[in-house]
Order: sequence, then C-alpha cells, then structure tokens
Amino acid sequence: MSGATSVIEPSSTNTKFPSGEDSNSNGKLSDKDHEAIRLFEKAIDKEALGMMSDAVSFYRRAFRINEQVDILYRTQKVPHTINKLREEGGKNIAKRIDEEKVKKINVDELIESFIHTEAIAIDPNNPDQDDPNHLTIKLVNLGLETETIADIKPVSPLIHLPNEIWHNIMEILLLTSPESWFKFSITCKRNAYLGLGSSNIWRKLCYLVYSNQIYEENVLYLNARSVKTLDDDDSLPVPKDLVKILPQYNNSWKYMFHTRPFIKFLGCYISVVNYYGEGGKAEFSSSWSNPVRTITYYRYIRFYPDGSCVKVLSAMEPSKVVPHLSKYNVSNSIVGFVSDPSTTESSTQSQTQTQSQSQTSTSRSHTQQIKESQRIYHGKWTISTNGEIHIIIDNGSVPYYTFHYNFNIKTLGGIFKHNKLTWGRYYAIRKKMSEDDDRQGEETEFSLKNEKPFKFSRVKSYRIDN
Amino acid sequence: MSTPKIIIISSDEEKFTVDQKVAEKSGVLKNMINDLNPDGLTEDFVAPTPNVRGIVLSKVLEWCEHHKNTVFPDEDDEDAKKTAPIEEWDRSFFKVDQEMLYEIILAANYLTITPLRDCGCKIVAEMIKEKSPEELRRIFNITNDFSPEEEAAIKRENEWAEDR
Repeated sequence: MSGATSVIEPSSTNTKFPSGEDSNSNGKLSDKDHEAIRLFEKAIDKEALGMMSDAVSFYRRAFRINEQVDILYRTQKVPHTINKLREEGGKNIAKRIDEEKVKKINVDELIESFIHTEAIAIDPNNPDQDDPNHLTIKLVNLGLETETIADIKPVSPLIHLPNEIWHNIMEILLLTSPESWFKFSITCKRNAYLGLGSSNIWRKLCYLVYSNQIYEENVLYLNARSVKTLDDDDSLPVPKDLVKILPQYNNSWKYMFHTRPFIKFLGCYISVVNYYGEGGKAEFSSSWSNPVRTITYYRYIRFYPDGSCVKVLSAMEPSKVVPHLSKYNVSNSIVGFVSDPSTTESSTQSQTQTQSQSQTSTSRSHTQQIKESQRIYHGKWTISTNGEIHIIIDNGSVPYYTFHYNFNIKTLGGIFKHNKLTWGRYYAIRKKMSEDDDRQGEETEFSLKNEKPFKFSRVKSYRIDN
Repeated sequence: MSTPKIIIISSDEEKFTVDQKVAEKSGVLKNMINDLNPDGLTEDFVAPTPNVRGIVLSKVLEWCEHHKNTVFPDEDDEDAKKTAPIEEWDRSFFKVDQEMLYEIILAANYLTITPLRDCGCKIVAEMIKEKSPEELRRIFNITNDFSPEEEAAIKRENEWAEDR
C-alpha cells in the first residue's frame, strides 16, 4: 500500500498474519500485541475526533499486526478502563442497568423523595455497599460484636452545615466549576436533593445563562428606535426580568432551563465534516478500483455574551484549535503568535485594542500570511426566542460578501439539552463595492449538503469573556 | 478611664477581651452593643456567645482581629464576591480539620460575620473542585446510596446542565 494514510481499501481481506500465536492464554502480551493495541487505541481516539480517515488507517495497521486486536483490546484494556471509571465514579459505574426501570423513573419526584434522606457513612467492613440491607445488618451487628468489626467513622461534620450554607457553596460551584456542582450532587441522595432539588439552583442557572443572551427581537426593537438600551426594560419584546416570563414555564425555573434554548459560552461549538472525495491510484498500483479519500474538516464557533463571536474553518483537530479560539487572540490566527490565551486573558479589552492597533503595521503583512484555514473570523450573533441563531460575518473570506448563518438549537441524543446547532441556512449578501454597484444586495445561497450539525464542547480554560 | 472593651464569653465560659472594632466585625455583636448603648460605650461590655466553644471563638476572633481594618465590598455584586479568589492569609487561616472548619462556619453564620462565613464556604467549595464523585465520597465519608438505575436516571436528566 502506498504511504497515503487517507486511502480506504476493502479491508478484512488481510489474513496473512495468523493470530493467537503471540498472545497466549495466560494473558501475557508480546511486544507486537502491545503495538497492535496501541494503534487500536490511537484509532479510537481519532474516531472520537471524527477523523475517520486517520482512524481507518490506524485500525488497519492494528488489525494487520493482530487480526483479533479488537478482542485483545476488550479483554486486556477494557477491564482496566472500567476499574478506573469505577474508581472515579463509584459502584454504579459500568454496571448493567435495567433500561425499562430507568425510563420509568420520574427524576423530579425521585429527588423530591430525598428531602429527609441523611447521608450514610462509608462502612469499611462493606466497601462495596451494594446492598443497603446488608448495611443495616452490619449496623445491628456493630452493637453486638464491636471487636470484630472496624469502626464506622461518622460522615464529615461539614455535611451537617445548614442548608443555607450549602446553597451558598453550591452557588460558588455553579459559578466557578459547574462540573464540580454536578459531581457533588451525584455522590448520594442527600446531596442530590441539595444540588438538584432546590429551585434556587435552577433559578441561579437561569440567571447565569439567559441574562447573557442577545435576543434578536430586542436588537431589532432597539435598532428601530436607534438606541442601545432602554431605561425601561419592561417594554422590550423579550423582558430582561426572568420573573416576568416564569409563568410561561409553569412557574418552574428548572422547566425554563430545560426547555428555553440558550447559547453556551464556557466552551465552543464544533462541527466535524467528513466527506468522500476521489483519490488517485497509487503509482504502479494494480488495483482495479479507484480509492476514495475521506476529507475531514472542522467548523468552530465560539460565542460571547456581548453579541460577538469567532469562527474558524480548518482541517486542524480541536485540541490544536480550541486553545487559540478567542476574540482576544490578536494574531487572528489559530496558529498565531499570541498563542497563550492567558496573556490576553489578564489584559483588559482596551489594552488588547491598543495592542492590536500598535501592531497593525507589523501585523498587516502577517495578516496576509495567515492561511485561510487558520484565520479567526469575527462576527455577530443573535438568538430568537424560538431558538434560532443568526450569525453575521462582515469581514469574511471574500471582501464583497456579508456571510449569514442560521442555526437552530436542538437537544443532542435526547439527553444533552441545547447542545446542538443544526443548520438552517447559509448564504451571503453582496456588499456595496462601488458607488453605483447594482449587484449590491444580491443573495447567494450556499449548499448545506456536506455540512454537519455543531456539538457543544465544554472548554475548561474558557471564561465567559476571555 | 481607658477605652471600654468588649468581653466575649464562650459556651465553655472562656473570656475574650477585644476592641469594640474587632467585636463589631460581627453583625450580631455590633447590633447588641449599639442597641444597648445608643450613646456609645462608657464601660466594658459583656457579650455571651452560648453557641460557640472557646477554641472556636478564639479562631474567629483571630480572624476579626486580622481583618479589623479590612473594608469588605458591599452586597450588590454577589457573583463577583463568590468568584473572588481566597486571600493567602485566609487560606492559611483555614488550614484546620473538617470539624474546626465546620464550627468556624457555623460560628460565623451565628455571629453574622458574613465575609468569614463566605470565605469558609469557598474553602469547602475548593475541597469539592476537580474531584471525582468517588473522591468526594471519601472526603466527606459518604456512601453512594443510589441504585444503579436511580443514578443513571438522575445523570441523564441533569448532567448536561453543567455545560453552559
């Protein structure tokens, strides 16, 4: 096979290497097997990134070394992975669950039922504590034969802090480390009630997200009056005061958060596009079929609560692009010279602006050197009350176009709410390029044939404005 | 006559004599002093704190003494206060065991020393940050009392909410 890694040929024809030889039954792996597993894992990583072409290539190399590498991986690596997950997640992780039972659970009622549940201390005599009845028996035994059983230490006194204090702690977590808020809430029933059962939590979340949305209806309303803000927010089409719209959501903050679409800021939206293009036969190839090339590229969008956004279209994978995706990246390039976001993070916006002004002369020539595929484009966004996103990019890749993107906010996989942007429309409107430009306002529609929806990815280093 | 002092008595009858300024870090004590002495203090003022043990009270007053001249920002921006980093001095002040941390937060709550209470909350929040659920169970010594189905259902409905 030629050196091209992005060529798919019919696989599973390669049985030259007998398997089983190297991996004997006592579980000892040969170097070859390790190499096969390593390649297999690499393939999994690439697949997760949507880089199908690379993934296929690694899978093929892995299978060529050992055609049962998938089984090998499952028996050798998966138990390790599960153990590690259990170490982090606890006894219920990677356990077979009864889907029917899960579906029947009304989560709100379940959490509500924990209102008087107390936290139970870890019993060192029963490390798994799979069976709560078992624990009760142990506790009974404890009184009878204390010597034979290790002492159960009480739960941390901090658990007994008053609920108002815990709400304070939960709010700090919601603000500074939302993942930790959830991880704490899933530790036990009592903490689930604390973290998920109180309407205070959902109200806080509502205020954190909805007050940062830029509503199209409001922008239009204000533009029509040629003002930036109103003294009296009450007359805005989408009221800023969330209490006013709460009745539309059954007076439930949680219901509002679950059903009212919003743009997320602590991460970026990524669309992975794979399409097949015609490859070429390798030199001297005797193959009668024409190989197909998979082409992978990514669209990245990051939003800001001031109504601005940045957009990148690149073949570079997320781990390389995401750290540089910022409107404060003055190089305007994802491989830019100011690559460390922390340097721009600390500086205020005005500093950044003066910086960029002082650099204009030098960065002009540099700007021209930025490859199209590395450039960060700046745009504006709005959201309408029904969850439609409208992005306008004035200074796009073509000088005479203003680019427009319409997306809809959807739920991903039925679980991840407001986590997906599906394409509505992608078009451009011709700008006025000269005094008597009669093509001004012409609309050009772009095909969405190859486009794929965007998924939101949380990025820990992202603050709401950095 | 010298400046009148505040004598605070703990639940275990320990006496602490502090400046009025230090005692008034506590909203409760401040109100008590001013309500009973509308024209200002003329003699030492005795204030019992029947809910606070001496060993805890001494810690709390150490904090009040250190921060007697600190001006804490007003209530108006709750979020900014909650996200502000913990000062180095406060961080080492809170290098105590969980029992003491618990009692300091309770005392600060009871005596309405809001910045101390909030700082204690931040310390607890930091204990929680960047930890897996299982690590948290160990830290707080709590059992996972969910059935696998309950845990799965709660995650499915709520875990996405951490993304915003």
